[in-house]
Amino acid sequence: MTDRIGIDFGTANTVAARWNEIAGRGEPVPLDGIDLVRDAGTGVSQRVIPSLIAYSHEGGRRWLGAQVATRPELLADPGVSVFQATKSNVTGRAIDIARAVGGRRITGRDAATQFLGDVMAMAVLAVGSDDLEIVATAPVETFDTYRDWLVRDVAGGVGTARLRVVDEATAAAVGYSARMSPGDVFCVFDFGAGTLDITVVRVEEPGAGRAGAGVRVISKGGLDLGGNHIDALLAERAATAAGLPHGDAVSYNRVFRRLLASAEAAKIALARADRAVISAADPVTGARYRCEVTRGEFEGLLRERDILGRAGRGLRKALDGAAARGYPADVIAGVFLVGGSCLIPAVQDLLRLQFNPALVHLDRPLEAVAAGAAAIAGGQELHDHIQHDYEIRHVGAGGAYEFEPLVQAGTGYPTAEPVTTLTLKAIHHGQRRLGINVYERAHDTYRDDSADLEIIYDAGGGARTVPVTPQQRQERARRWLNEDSPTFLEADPPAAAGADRFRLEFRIDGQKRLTVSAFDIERRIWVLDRRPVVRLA
Amino acid sequence: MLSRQRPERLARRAARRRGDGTRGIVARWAWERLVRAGDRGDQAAADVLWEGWLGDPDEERWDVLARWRGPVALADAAFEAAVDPGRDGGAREAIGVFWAGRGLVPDGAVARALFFVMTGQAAQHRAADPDGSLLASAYRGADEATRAALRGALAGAGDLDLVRVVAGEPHGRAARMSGDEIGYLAGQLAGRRDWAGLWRLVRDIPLADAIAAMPAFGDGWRPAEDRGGALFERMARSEPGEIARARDALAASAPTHLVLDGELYWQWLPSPGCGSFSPDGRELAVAAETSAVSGVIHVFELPGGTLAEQHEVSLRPSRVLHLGGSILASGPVDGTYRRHGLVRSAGGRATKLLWSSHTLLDLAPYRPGFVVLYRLGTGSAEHMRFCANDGEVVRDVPLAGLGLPDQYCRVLAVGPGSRSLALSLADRLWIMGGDPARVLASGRADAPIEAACFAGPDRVATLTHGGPGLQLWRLDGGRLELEATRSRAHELNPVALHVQGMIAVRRGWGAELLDAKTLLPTRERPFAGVSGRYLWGSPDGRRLAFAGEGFVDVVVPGLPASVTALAAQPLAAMSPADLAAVTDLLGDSVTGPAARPFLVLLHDILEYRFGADVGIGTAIPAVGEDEISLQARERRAT
Repeated sequence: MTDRIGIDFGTANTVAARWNEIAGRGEPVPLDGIDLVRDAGTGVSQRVIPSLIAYSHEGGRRWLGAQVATRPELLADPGVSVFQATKSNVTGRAIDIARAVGGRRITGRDAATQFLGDVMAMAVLAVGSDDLEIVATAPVETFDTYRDWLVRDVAGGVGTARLRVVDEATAAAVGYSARMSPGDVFCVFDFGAGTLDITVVRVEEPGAGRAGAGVRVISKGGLDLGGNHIDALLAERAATAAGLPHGDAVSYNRVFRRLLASAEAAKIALARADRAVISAADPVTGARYRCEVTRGEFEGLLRERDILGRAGRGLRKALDGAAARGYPADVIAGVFLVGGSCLIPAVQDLLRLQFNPALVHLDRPLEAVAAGAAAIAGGQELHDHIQHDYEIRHVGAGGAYEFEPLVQAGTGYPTAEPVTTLTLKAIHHGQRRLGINVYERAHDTYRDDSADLEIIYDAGGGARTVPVTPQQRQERARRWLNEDSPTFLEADPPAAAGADRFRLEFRIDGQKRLTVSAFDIERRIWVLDRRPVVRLA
Repeated sequence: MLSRQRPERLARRAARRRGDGTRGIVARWAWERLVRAGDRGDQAAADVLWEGWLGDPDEERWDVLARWRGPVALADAAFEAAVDPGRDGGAREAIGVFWAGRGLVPDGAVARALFFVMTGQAAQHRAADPDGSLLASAYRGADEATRAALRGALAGAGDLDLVRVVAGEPHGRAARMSGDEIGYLAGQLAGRRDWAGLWRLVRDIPLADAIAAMPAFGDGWRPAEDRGGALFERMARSEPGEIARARDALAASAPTHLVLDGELYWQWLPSPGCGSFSPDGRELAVAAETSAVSGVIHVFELPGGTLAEQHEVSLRPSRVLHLGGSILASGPVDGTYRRHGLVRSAGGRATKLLWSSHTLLDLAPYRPGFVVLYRLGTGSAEHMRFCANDGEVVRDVPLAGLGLPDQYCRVLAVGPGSRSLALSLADRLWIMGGDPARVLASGRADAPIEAACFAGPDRVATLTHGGPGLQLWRLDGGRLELEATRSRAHELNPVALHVQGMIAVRRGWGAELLDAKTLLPTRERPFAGVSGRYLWGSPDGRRLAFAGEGFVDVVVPGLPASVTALAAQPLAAMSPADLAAVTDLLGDSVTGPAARPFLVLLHDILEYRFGADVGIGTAIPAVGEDEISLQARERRAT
């Protein structure tokens, strides 16, 4: 029998879950030694693997997950390099600076590949099946590149296991769908360490021939905002309050990295306690820095830095999207909080203000995404829609590049009929190749340009926050999806400049791929038949 | 107040230390005197102490200076000194060490990044500015000397994104960098073996710089992608010197703007005869009046436009002729137009060839020298004097002696290679040629001929005053056959462009290009930003000069300024339209063979980048059932 597991690589925590055919749900796979059990604030303990990897500078030894989290001395050991939040390096949201580890240079992306490869291999061994299917999750905003990384770099070492990739937000929705009834509409509020994703979904009626229940995504919203961002704000506040001097930048980063770790612990503590301490010592000079934070001050900081406001606006946007599709907020039958940042009481209050508190559930928030991925592997169906706007690049009348819409956010798939039909013409005399260059517009639609700072880990392992400039946000707003694998139409005989040459029909297939069919107007012949161009998100 | 020398002496004495590092009595006394002077506001004492601190930063002087100047002003001055590229690197580092010891740091993240790098604190910089973005801001705001110092300080700076720092934008896209900056980046990326980064860089910078950087790749790296690999090979095979020469040849086609100013008699106004290209087209002589009886001939080098020579002449030059090694100038010599002179100027020496009693009517090159049309007094016969290049008279003959009517004669045009002349005489067009010169043919025009040019060795285009307008004549044995006529529509001043096979005619202040064989307008090519009262053509038929009030613009017709600008333009700044322009150029011959290697390679690069670009059409034609091919039927069956 095929065994199915779901793996969710998170910025702070990673979870591997196995599909329990009898219980009809995904359950965490124990990975002794590298996982630990965390209290999720609901009285339910959850099994997670902290997304940490440490390398010894000598001997090639490495530590994973709980092996790092339970050994704070590793962070202070100059012979060890600890990597954290490496998911941001894979998604490209944080600048990746290689660190010298013994004689090697290791980037955050390298560390992420090693970490997830190790976790995947250990999960495969733990399940012990020869017939295994893995569903891994990927952030919706960088789905394509992240999926390529998972398939090429990470899964390469797992052997014969089949790997599917689904986006994180919808995986969480599928995970909770078993709790709902057909026809129910519910909302998943996934506030992790790196991002906030809000998804409104509807449980579909079981259909003939379908293996299990299905969910249809109605609306999505999101922010580049997560728990790490909050930790950075807390650490900055502590650095200022404790008088951490800026004069020695190396020392500042060294201490700030430790303040970040302490701030994360304080944030967790403030979920239950009224006050917490953020402290760090400089391992070189021995100087100590300490700052006490009350829950009121913490929540004041969240308001002052507009964390709660931005989260609220993101939620509003997703709900408005659902309402526009005929599902107003008052039909939402349940709201599920996912991700470590949902443990912050002020965040829960935000949801309880928006919805009937009885509908808001904080249930296994750390395991939900992986459990949902396992459910998808187990046969749960997913009916999604396209999250971003997609465009084709062309040369406009003025000779500059312009962009013509191909697919609008919100389009369902697969599409039997073309979503867009247009005619292409050559712009050079005797042109033989006509390129189909597809771009994704990210921030204008699904994900707001909300990140105003990011954490950078320096070459020495220290950390500091750096502002995200408008230019950087602009660069991230439009991405050329098929720059490395362009689709060309061959014009034989060569095309005349300015004359219509190919009629194109764009569709979206069941695997969420944009396909193109091309008809050569001059030769009166179809030259491409539903050829996949790019994977949409 | 202490004199200027006194504080220096005191400072020298105060600097003397005993073996244990303390001051002796004299040194202590000198130090106290110096400090007391400064406390009284003695600027000389303060200056000496400041200079001393800059040479050897120490706590004692810093504290005293801070008292005198104020801590903020002192810190500002120290920061300026620490980032001063004119200061020795060791002195800058000493300031950095001193500040680090006191826990001092400049205000502002960008200033801090600059400070750390300029004072040699690489580890501090890496920690304060891990991605180099702050230093990139500092670099953009710095002067050239500071930039050079920063580049030196950053050499071998580990993983720092130097392209981001120096180019100012990710991956140097659209960057306009100096040659020094490009060379620096190429060297640094090669040193790091960052081949992908170097490949990105060479596709962004100006082409000739890119080819010069290609050898840095060595033999060990090629792009994985097929098309990129082919382009890489093509660029790697190109010879940098050849591409640079071709680049220069293309740049030489750019418009050259010459300004006529200086000690002129009046604002310089052009006349038909006051400009003359050298036989090889590489120089342009322009005559200007400096008084009623004197003038100066400016000789400009082309295409650079630098003033190569100036010939002062003691006549008011109305006609000039550049013969290569010498300049001829003719014009009135007495403030009237009755008495003329002809002067030959060469090697800094002016020689009068004809003077005062002559009325000079015309002057033209005629191989191997030149010809002068003149008359000795009113009513006397008009002569043609054929001279060698050095002015020696080869033949002097009245018009009648050449079989020409003894009437007013003017040279309308000079044939290719100065081997023939077109003359206007007695309402007829006369063609002379041969050695010795003789009449080859003549033809009657239906109206007085105003101007002409040779459209080829055996073709002459004439412009009549009234009547038919532009006419094209072909020399067929001893006859002139009319080949084409174009009604006049305000055209003036035809000039032959032999290389391009075109004739330029002035229309208004601009010019139009006609096909030299049909007189039909050619594909429109704008002379962007140039205009003038007269057109002069170079003997090689390649260049065209627009002479206006106070200036001359020299252009290569048929070559838009935007194309010549490509020579120095970064590849990153190019657009799809540039591919079309370069493709058109390769189909023409206007740029000449010298620029071709550059253009061919540029075309390949632009083809790689823009060759598959598309436009969105307007029509959505229906696909009829009967027109669906086998492929389409297969598609439907699946």
